[in-house]
Amino acid sequence: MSAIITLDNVYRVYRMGNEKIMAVNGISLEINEGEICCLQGPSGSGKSTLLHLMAGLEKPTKGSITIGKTRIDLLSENQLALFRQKHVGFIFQNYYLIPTLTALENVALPLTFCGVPRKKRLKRAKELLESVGLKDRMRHKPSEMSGGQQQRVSIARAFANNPKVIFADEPTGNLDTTTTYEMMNLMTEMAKTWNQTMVIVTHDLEITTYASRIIKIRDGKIEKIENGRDLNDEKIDA
Amino acid sequence: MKLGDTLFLSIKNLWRRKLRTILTVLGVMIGCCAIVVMLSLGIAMERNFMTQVNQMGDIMQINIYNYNWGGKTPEGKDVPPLDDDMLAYIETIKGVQAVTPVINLNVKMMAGKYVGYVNIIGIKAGMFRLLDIPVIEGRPLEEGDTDHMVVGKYVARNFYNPKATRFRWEPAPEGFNLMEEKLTISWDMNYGEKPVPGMSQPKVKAKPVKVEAVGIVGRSGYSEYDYSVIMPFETVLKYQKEMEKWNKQNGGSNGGGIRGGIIYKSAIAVAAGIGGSNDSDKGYERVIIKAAHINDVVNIIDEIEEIGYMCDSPIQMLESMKQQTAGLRQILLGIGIMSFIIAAIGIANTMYMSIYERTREIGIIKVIGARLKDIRRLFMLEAGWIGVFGGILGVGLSYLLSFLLNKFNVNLGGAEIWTPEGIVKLKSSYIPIWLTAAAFVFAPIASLMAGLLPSRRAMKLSVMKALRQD
Repeated sequence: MSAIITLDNVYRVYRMGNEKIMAVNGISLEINEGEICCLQGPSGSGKSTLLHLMAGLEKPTKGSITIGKTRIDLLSENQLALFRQKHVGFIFQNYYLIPTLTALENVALPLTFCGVPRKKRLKRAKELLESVGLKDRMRHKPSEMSGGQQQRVSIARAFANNPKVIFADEPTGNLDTTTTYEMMNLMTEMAKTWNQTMVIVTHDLEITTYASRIIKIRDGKIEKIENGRDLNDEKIDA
Repeated sequence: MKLGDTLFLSIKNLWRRKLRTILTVLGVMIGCCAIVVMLSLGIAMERNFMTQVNQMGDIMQINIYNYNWGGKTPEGKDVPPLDDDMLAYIETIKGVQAVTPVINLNVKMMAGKYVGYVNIIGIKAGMFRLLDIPVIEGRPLEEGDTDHMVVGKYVARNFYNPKATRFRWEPAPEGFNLMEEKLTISWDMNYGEKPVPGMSQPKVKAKPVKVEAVGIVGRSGYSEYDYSVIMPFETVLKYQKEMEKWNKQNGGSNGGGIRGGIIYKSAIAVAAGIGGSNDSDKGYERVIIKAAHINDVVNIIDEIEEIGYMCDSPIQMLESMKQQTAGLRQILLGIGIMSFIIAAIGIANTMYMSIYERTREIGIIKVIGARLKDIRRLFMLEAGWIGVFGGILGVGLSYLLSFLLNKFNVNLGGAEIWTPEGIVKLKSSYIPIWLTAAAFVFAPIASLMAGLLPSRRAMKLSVMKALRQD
């Protein structure tokens, strides 16, 4: 397996008044294609920052980050936007759906920015919503849906442009246990189907059971890397 | 992101904040309307001046009156004679289309059994068409005409039956048309009248001259042409010479009259080419200049006054009217512009509010792949739409207000003017097409400018900061 994400000695330093906070303190890491990788650690450990750096939402203070063949730490904001359009999907703890758009429109939105014609993108959005089990909720707005349903919409949106890498930031943080398992099964199944790489940030130990690799982060450094389950195993029952 | 999608999304975004959008649009509407109505008042004023001035004559014409003959300019220079050389020079002034001298001659005219006193104006026949003299019947005076005349429509009113009973005045009947009569003119003012016992008769009888009326002239307002007949300049000169000869034969006292006697002499002298070197000769009494374009008129007047002549043109009246009201019109425009600036600030305010509210949303769409230019365009379009709708409504409101102003005759200076044809109502407000078009273009452009800073702000929002905001 070849590495799709490569971090080489990456630092991210925040300044809080006179104090320097080393959110990410010299991390080197390779994530392979098709992997489901968990970044796990207590809050404040720098795992979220690490995810944001990998996704190009923040710039590293030092070090290089490569996705595929692109040095994303060198891209301008516009280039990053284009890069995200084509290669990256996001799932957030707070779903981050646009409240005024329906589920269908929310899922189609990334495709809108890519310039995909309306008919085509709505068709794709419909297919995705069906595959996340929201066939009869397409015309609903986020405020009319439960947390689990909203997260399904956000998962469908992350997969909309068929990205190589999907970043999930505490995707189940707001969900109950049953829904958490449903969500994790859904995400990992979809990623497996399309051979997508997935990076999940969590502090929830149960989620790590879905990962092929668990990277434990503490104080901005990699504490330990554990191998998880083989991805070809049967899916985990809730 | 495709333009169509951006358009759609921007409208959708506006619609979800209906109340605020509508209030902002109302602001633009009022601002736009203020400018249009204020301008329309100024424009109506100018048009009214034009209407009034047009009653006084053709605005493209300049009359030179040689009042100053023999005099000096304020700088002490001798005023050169207004002779043919001078006319030739005037013709070369930039913007002058044509020049003609004007001479007047009073004669007695007989038409069938009626007679009347008639003032003949002599102008160059070729220039007749340029002088904006409306011919209502027959044809205008043309190059090559000799004893032909075009008569003013009120001239026929001067005719009466000289053979009528002594104490009864018998005017020519209604519908009396000089074009249908056999016409003769004479310098003898008693021509055609019954001889009055005891009144001396001229020693030499003046021989009547046959003339022919080929057209009738009628203007809407007062015009000297309505009350005179126009004949070719050369013909009138010939008549003048004959009249002078006849006057001399009779001791120079009887009958025939010429307005501006001294002038007529010089006119003859000029025409005959005998007075050119004469010091007392100051040329024609009056000259008409036709300008090629309205913008040239003022320049021509300046140049001719520089030489030392007095000029008279309706445009001078127009200029002074414009000057007197320039301040008022500027204040009106100022009020309009101020209202629009307030409206533009309203747009900027609305856009800023909307960006604060949607900070997180901007973060989200950035994360899922909106480019900077997509975001800028989205917010610019939102501001632009406010301008488009505000502009349309503003123009609509302007037309309504303009209609009401005109209907209820709210006026800044003179509600109506009197003309021979009746009362002409002046408009208080007039919105020309170009003003409508300008409002449609200007409102969105101003709105886009108001949206410029807010949309830059939206564009520059940091993704992570935006996402963290509640």
